[in-house]
Amino acid sequence: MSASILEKFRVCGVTGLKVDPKAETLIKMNAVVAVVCFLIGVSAAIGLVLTRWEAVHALDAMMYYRFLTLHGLNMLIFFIIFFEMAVLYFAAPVLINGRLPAPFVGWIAFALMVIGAIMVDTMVFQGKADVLFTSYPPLKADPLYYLGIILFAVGALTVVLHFFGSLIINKREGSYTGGMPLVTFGALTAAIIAVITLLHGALIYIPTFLWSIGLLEMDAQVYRLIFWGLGHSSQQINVAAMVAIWYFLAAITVGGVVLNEKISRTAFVLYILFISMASAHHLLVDPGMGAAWKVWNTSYAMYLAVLASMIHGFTVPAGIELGQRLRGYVNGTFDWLRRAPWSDPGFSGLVLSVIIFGFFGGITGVTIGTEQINIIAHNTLRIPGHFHVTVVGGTALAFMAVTYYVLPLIFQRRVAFWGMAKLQPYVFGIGITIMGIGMSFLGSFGIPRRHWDSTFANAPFPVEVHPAVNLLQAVFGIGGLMAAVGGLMFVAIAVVSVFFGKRVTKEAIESGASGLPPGVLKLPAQTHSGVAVRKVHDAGAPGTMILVFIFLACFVVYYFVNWKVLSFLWKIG
Amino acid sequence: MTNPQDNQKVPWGQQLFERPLLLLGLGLLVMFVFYTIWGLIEIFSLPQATLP
Amino acid sequence: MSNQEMHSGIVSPQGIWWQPAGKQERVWVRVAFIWCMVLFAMMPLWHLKGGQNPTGIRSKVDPAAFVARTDRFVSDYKVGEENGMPVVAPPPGSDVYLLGRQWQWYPQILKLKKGAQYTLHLSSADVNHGFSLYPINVNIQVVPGYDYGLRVTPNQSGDFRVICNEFCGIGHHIMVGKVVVED
Repeated sequence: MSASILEKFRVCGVTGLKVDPKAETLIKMNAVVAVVCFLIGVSAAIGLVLTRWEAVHALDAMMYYRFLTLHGLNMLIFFIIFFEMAVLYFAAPVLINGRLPAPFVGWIAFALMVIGAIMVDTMVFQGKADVLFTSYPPLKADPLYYLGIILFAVGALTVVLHFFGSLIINKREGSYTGGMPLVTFGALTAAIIAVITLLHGALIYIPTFLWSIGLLEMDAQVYRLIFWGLGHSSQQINVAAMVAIWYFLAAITVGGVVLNEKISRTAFVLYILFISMASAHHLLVDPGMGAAWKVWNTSYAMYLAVLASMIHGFTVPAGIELGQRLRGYVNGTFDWLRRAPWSDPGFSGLVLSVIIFGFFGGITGVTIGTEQINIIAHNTLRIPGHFHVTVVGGTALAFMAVTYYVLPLIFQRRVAFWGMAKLQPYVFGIGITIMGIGMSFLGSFGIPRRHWDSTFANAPFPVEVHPAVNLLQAVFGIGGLMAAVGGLMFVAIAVVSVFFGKRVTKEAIESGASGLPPGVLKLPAQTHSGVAVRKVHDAGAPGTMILVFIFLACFVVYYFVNWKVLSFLWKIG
Repeated sequence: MTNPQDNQKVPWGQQLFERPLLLLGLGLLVMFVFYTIWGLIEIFSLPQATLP
Repeated sequence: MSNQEMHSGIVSPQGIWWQPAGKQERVWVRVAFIWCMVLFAMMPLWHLKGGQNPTGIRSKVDPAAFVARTDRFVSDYKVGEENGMPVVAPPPGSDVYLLGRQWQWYPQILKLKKGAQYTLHLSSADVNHGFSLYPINVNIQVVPGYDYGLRVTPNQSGDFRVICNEFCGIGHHIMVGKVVVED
């Protein structure tokens, strides 16, 4: 690389990485817009929680469904994907010490995404798209709504292709030697799944747009099939991006190591190959497809993507355990865990994300995604109960945790309200878990999702509701409000840090100023060699072994209890 | 940087995992064959209802 | 993992990283793989031995034809009325037609016999609906243009509801039907 280009880079004072300022600006822009979308989404969420909690029942029916549309789109699509765009710009070129090949392409893509998101939100606000996130035809929205989604998807696809270009060009130019870092490989996995996702998005939204202006017929079942190639796979981008962030946070907070590159990367490749097939989870009780298609797809080709998650579920905590042992916390089985930096929001967010995603999200997801068990789960509150602990408790929380490092490292700002930041992951994580549990049990009582009035007050027949439902609705409501508070704490911290935060200086780092997470004050060692490695290697990760087998036991119990419950039902076939 | 002789010793798995576009192609292939195309075939091969 | 060197996930691995896994990792990967095979095997097994499978008799249908067939079904087996809504009691073994439309199930009231098998045909006259037998918690997607015929055998008597659990427009939450199962 020529010296003139090198001069254009900023060398990170903490990690020593060369940062291309053009990539850095795009990271900032995408992250800021992501937080704005999150704020819209969380505001809508408060209205939804206070409506589904029947004791409050705040919104009228039309506003409820409108808020639900707004919430779904801004959280599941805009917030998450804008943030993932920032993650991609970070993974390449920043993590591979490279340059951004075509900054102007990044700006065009960003503009497309922003315009698309504004169009969609405007249509929803104007009441021209009360069709919920899924917009199943023949329910029809304004054509501009579909056009907005198409623009957004084209923009996102452009960023993803730019990422591939960045990987390949920087490799050719020798920006890094050896393999790409595991975190970048995880981001690559997310990028590949994003291409799969966005192609399905184009495949379905372009015909739907043409249908909305009267040029085409639309089949309801074909729409459902292709739509979920977008709707569910987009959440698999999250899984891959989240796991990449897990490895990143483990590295930067406690010097977490990669146990084995082959195993961790193979797990990512299993995601690339199979995880998108889980789009079938939404179609298990649909008339269009037969049993063989359902069983094969819902199981991600014999659960190979679940195997991948179970591998990451071991290697991430084991990497943390080994990292901690390398830092000297070698006593006993769990000393490394007790003496972890629990007041570092980057670390606590990471651990909560792993636990909430794995224990609550993973177990429920695999179980209700079983072809037959889906009969007792489809479109009940168990479904959002599940995906709020995966997408929100898992992915969004991981994104928040990494933000506490992005603020000082990329925005060069100290984290504002540092005391509140230390608490934020707990408030948000615990809140969303309580809410998810509440929703999940409500669903087990047959309470539907996406429903304004589960007392069925104006229905032609009275519906008797189990007394536990009222209690569970309060659990759902309280958990939801707690999560919303955690979400607003995050927005306040992020916004104030970005626009009014104190600059990160060398002196601030040396004096251990407030608003700088421990990994920024003193980055844990990222490479180890010699005797220490041998010792830690021989000791292994006994604590993690115990934890993963507890996890497996919970999984087995929950899974078979659901089969048992299913077996009491009417005969259906 | 690796020269061609080193390349010979690099296991096939490691070589495969360093090729983003090949991985992308495989990912697209599996999803489109099993989920999308097979799914469309399932839908389009449904018979017309007899409504007994 | 290598005995000599360890690094984090933000470091580019040098040389050959395609190395055999450590012992604990191997154990966990094997256990996880076996569990995944159990998860997979359960579904085909339930098709063979279990009583609840969403396979059914599936076909395409013209919505108008399904509406007409439902009307005929109602007139064939109507046994009375309740607040102007037909009460339909099909004989055991018969085909039952249940139509979803904005925002009601039609017929609104079905009378079934416990232990008898029926083929329940579900479809929609307009948009997607969700058949949810409440509180038993049987949930089936109802898609316009498709006839989903499921052989069902009620195993308990009682007074149940059919609620719509797929968003179908502004009146979605009042879309409730009734199924009475008699001994």
